[in-house]
Amino acid sequence: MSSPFISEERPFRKSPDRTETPRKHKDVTMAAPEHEQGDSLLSHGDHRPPVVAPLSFLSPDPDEVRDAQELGRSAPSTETTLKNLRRASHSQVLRSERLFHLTLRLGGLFILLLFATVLGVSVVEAWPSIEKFGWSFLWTPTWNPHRHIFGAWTYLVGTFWVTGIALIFAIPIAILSALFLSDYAPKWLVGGVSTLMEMLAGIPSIVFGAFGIIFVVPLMRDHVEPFLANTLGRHFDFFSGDAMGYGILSAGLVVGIMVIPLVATVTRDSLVMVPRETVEAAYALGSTKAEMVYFVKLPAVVPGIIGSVILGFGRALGETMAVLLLVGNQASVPTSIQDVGYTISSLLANTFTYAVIDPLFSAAEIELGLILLVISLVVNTLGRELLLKLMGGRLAGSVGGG
Amino acid sequence: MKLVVRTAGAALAGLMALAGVGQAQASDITISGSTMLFPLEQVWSQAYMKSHPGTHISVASTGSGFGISNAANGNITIGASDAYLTRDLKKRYSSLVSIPVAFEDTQVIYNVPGIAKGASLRMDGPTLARIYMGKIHFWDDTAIRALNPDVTFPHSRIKVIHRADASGTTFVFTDYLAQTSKEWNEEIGRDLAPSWPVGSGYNGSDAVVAAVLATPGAIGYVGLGWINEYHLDSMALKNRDGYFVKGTVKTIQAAGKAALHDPTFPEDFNRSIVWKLHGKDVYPDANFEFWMVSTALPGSTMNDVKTLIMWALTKGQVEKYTVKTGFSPLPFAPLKPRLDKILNHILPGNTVDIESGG
Repeated sequence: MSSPFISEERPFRKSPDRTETPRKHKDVTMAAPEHEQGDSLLSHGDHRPPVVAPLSFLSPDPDEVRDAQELGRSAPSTETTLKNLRRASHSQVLRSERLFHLTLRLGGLFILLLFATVLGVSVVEAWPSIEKFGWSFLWTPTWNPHRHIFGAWTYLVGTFWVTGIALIFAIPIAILSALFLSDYAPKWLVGGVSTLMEMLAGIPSIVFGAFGIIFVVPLMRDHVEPFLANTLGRHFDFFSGDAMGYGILSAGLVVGIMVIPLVATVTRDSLVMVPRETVEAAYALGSTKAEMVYFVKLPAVVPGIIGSVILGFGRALGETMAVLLLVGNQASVPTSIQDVGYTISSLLANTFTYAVIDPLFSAAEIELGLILLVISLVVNTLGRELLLKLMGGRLAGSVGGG
Repeated sequence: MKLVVRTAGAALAGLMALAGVGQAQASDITISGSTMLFPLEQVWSQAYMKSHPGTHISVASTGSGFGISNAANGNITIGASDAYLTRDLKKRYSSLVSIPVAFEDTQVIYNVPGIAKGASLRMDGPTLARIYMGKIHFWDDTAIRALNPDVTFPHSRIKVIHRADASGTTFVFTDYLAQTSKEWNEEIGRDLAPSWPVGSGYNGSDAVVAAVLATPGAIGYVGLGWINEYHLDSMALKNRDGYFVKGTVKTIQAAGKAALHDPTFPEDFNRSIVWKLHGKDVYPDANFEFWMVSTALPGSTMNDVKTLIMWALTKGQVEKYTVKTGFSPLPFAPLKPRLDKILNHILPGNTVDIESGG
């Protein structure tokens, strides 16, 4: 923190009642720090922005006195600051305040407007389909553009299959790696692995999709799927099938890889935040490290894990490119883990440019998009709430999801 | 703050300058649509812009559906499409006129374990339809064996591979199935993106080729360009007269010529050239590639478009453009009578242009 920033912030807090509109005073105190930060950043060279200086009138700021002494000037007395204050036009200050306030409000309003527009346009565009099919759209398994019959069932099921496989694969690995990083990893390893994990979360999904095609698909086709069919598949039809490589299993695994960093970072962060006293109390009672982790730390972070899993769910749900490349894009309800399927997002990516040719077809596709929007909205809100409750907002920025 | 304002101002000025340059261009033609036709359009636009300075052509590959709908509403100048205007489309987009610009086809590719390259498998419509409906499960099915008595097939599962995105290749493929198989016609029909009963779908012909090559037992379909580029083996399909014909530049052209010489073939080209045609070397699953032009284009643009169309149909048909990008050249002579009618009577322009002067 640079000293000008601190010294400028203080007077505002001390004397909100000196501004001429008490009605506005709450807003002023709220907006002030950001405003000043912006100003002080811009006016780096001349050290003190003219608008703010007169306001530090009551007691000469100790920092300011020291600064002035260092510069070889005499410390400003209370009298001169008062003079400065009179010179400063209050209306000028207020105008810039109001302008800034308005700008902020516009920014906030724009976000609201944007969201309302997306939702509104989607609903309007999807209306022919909503009107025609009603709720039955959700459980109709037929999707035949040729005959104008549209139903979301196969795509919903496919979406949840891929998401489910991804989570089942990702959660244990993510939790184990988070535990390792928070409690067991040597210090020199923690930084590197954490950075890698965060970088993994930022890799574009198409890269994972390509990786899936050149690595996961052949692996599944030649080794994993025949193995599954020959072992578990002998007893449960659910695991048997033709080894194809492409399908919900490959898509789910690759999406799982993409979800791991998200769940692992959030879980690790919540593990680190377990109070030291609790941990020490567990040791004091004679527990081993493993007992401490299992009986004390893990139960304490269950809400964090649930929250991160919900965020991961939201991420997996909307994943498009990687799934599109791997899932097999066949509108049928999978009966085996080796089957191909189709997800809502990949259907939209594949056929939407064509669907625009037919109003009902495009309406049905937009309705699918709307369903996805609602699900991920609900899921993300839930996950965020849970995390906020647990961490008091400290993580709110880092759990963007997407 | 000031800095931001100044940057924004500079950016705005820059944008305006760009827009000014755009307006100063003599004429702009935008072509968008079919992903299949895209490579040919790219080569054409390069060559055309070189020989016609002052005309600027921008080409985009967005899918036939996009091409048709946006040519109709005036967002683009020319919409490229693999499919002709069916009765439904004609009703919805009545202002569109279709002009054939090249020949293409759809061929069936396969990856059967134990069958060597160059084995030249034979296939007919009804059997192919039953494979794609999931009613034939294995390569050694009696129907397939009956068509290929000399080939020994393994007892391996057929893995049906199709396009997931809306595609003209799919339209031509399902057209063949719909015309040869009653079952297919009634249950699935002909579409750019039909509801496939079985199989797995891939986005783009390149992905189909990759999936077929990687999956033992696979069957798929792609256009001539892909067959040539990857030296793939394709099946010989049964045509109307009972001959099994492989798709090549020659057999596709034979199909087109047979259609154009047929007096019952419609004046506006809006009929499929799949299956119905007679002849010994006529490939039964060929198609015209179309440019869709709206009659509502402004006069001066229309004249530029007409010049471009005439160029594409004459100089643009040489092999270094068409065959090299995977198309079969159109014969101009049989095309001419129908084309003259379209260009001189249906598409306005000549008269309107005089009014607008210069």
